[in-house]
Amino acid sequence: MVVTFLPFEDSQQVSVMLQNDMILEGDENFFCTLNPQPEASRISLGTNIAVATIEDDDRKYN
Amino acid sequence: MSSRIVTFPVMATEQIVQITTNSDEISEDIETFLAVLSSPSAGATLGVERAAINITDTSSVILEFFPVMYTVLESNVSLTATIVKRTNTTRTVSVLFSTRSGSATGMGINRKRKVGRRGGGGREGRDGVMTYFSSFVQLYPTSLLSLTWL
Repeated sequence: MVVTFLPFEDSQQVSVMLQNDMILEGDENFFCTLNPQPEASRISLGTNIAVATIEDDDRKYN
Repeated sequence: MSSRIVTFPVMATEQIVQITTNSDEISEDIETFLAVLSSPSAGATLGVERAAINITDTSSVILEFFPVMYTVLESNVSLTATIVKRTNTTRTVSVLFSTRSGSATGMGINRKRKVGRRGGGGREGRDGVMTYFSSFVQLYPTSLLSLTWL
């Protein structure tokens, strides 16, 4: 998805939906990445990968 | 606006006028101003009396994640990542956000594909079922992707 910054907007938040279950599986992770749009000019990416850890809270169900 | 008198001595055919521009830390589109000749002295007439000067900005806007590590309980509805803009700008800029499976499987902009589990007992990988719910953009304050882990 495209995240747009209007002039003088300093930050944007993007939410990733999570799906809960009751399976004991340990912590898991996924990655969020930023990539330039093909037609973008004069945009540089700093840290363009973020790591998201999903903590398993299913112990009480198993 | 500022002005000055430019004098041509006898036999001079050209004069150079320097205009100082101020640099800033703002990433901007091309900006323009005009240089204008007026009020020639007696015996002189003006030909092309206006020149347009473009100021081209070469500075870039820096976008990045901050923070770069997030932790959320599985029972949470969503995880929110923050993207920050490090450079002041008068331009509207955009960047492509996507997700990539780790040990949690899902899909963002990635195509549906076989995804295995890491450290999960060697279970056969299953099709990632992450779907890009662009319509959620209209339903929530922030744009939403969906991630399902198996």
